[in-house]
Amino acid sequence: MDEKQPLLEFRDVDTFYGSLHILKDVSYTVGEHEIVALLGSNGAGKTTTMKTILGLVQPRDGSIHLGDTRIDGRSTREIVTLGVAPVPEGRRVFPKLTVLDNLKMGAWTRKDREIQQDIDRVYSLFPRLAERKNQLAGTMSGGEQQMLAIGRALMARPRLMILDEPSMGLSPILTERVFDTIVEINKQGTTIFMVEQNAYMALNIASRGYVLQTGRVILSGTAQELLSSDMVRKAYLGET
Amino acid sequence: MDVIIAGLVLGALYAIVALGYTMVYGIIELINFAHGDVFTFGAFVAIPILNRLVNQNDFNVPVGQSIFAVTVSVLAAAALCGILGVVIERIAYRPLRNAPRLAPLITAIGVSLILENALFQWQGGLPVFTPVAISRSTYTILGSPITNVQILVIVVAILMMVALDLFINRTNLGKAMRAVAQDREAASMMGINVDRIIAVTFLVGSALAGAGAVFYLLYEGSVGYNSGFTLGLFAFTAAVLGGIGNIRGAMLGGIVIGLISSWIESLGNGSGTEWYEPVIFATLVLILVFRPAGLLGTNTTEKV
Repeated sequence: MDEKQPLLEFRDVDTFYGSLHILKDVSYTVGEHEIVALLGSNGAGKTTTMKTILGLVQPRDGSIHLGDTRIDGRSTREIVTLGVAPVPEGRRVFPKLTVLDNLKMGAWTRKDREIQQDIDRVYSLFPRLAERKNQLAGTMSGGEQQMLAIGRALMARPRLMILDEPSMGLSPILTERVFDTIVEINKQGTTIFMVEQNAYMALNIASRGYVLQTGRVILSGTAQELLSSDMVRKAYLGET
Repeated sequence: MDVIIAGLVLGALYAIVALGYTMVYGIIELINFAHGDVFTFGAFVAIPILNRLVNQNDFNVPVGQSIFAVTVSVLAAAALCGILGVVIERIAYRPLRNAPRLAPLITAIGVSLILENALFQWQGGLPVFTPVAISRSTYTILGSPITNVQILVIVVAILMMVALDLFINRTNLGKAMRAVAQDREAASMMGINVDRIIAVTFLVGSALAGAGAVFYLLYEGSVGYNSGFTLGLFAFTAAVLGGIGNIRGAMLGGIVIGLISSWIESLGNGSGTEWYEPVIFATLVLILVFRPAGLLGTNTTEKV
């Protein structure tokens, strides 16, 4: 990690909602081509982390870097254009647009002529989306919407995909399929930073992880280290 | 039949203005009270152009001259209204984007008052008459007379509505407008420039009002500084009737309101004229009580 420059780096970031201190002196690094998991219970600051990356919440202190570029203080649009694609919490697909139009919106920042090619790539990754391409996104099941949200993020050809609770509301089988797809996307060259409550699943595919508690990173390490740490086992894997 | 024709013409005009209300509501949930005054502004822009381009001493205006004069005034009114709409949004509404919803609503009323007073200063309190830009000729449909101007208004309104529908549903820009309407934050996460999309919405809605104003002038022959405000209230009723935020609903609502008002006016040998306003606003109240989502709306109605 230390020898090459990370793709995403938080340096001592503090964020506030009004006077409420959410992230406290938080630092993360996500290396190129890694899968990094961010674990933590409700209210720990996981979603705030995602919003901070996207510029929806601005840090009061510290800095955020994407490769060589400092991205804190920039607009969401600029950050997305620089190569960050979100799969937001609750999926946030456009309910009254068709599946195909949702994918096209994912490619909004692109001007090249290979968009159709990428739509086909998403369809081959999620054949279900191809079957439903003219259906309104809001009429699909939660699992299908999650696939669409991931496909839509892929359409931006991101360097970094950030996923906020991709397993939320999905059955165990669907969760497994979504995680398989995340691994597949990572193999094709996209770096992944994901927030997850399902620590076991997340650490199974991640190379490293961070544990966030009330706004502080209380533990970090390789996925193996976290899986064998007593703290993680007790708090997230339900062992006693 | 006469009543239906008059109602359709009126309804087409209401529909065009209603589109501006419904598009803006769909995207930022604001009832843009200034919209009707933008309409008046469009008419005031068109009047001097028509005066200049039409030979006023000649009641038989050559067809070529009519087409030229109308086209130029439509383009000018649409362009200037579009710009006015964007300017209003930029200086009056955008700074309040994250304020409580009541604040932009009150601002909209304020903008309307400012515009109305400016229009009053510009053209005075009396109705301004326009030259006859198109020589009337009358045809007969199913035994009822219909003028060429009436046909023109209906045809142009249909063309504008079809064009708008295609723009919203088929182009990427139109889809982005709908995406912003459905989930503004998610749209910004796609890299969509939300402020620009909102500006485009004001541009298109206001330009439609400007173009509509010229056809209103051709049909009515005169316009006053507050004509747009009154017409705007009817159009707003139409937008609510169709389901505010719903484009096709605004079109349908406009036609229905037009037919209702023309029917009421025809009652009692013309004495119904005094009654069409109360009836229309009573309709508005009834809709809000019994079907607040409007004719085409559902509770999760598509916005824009």
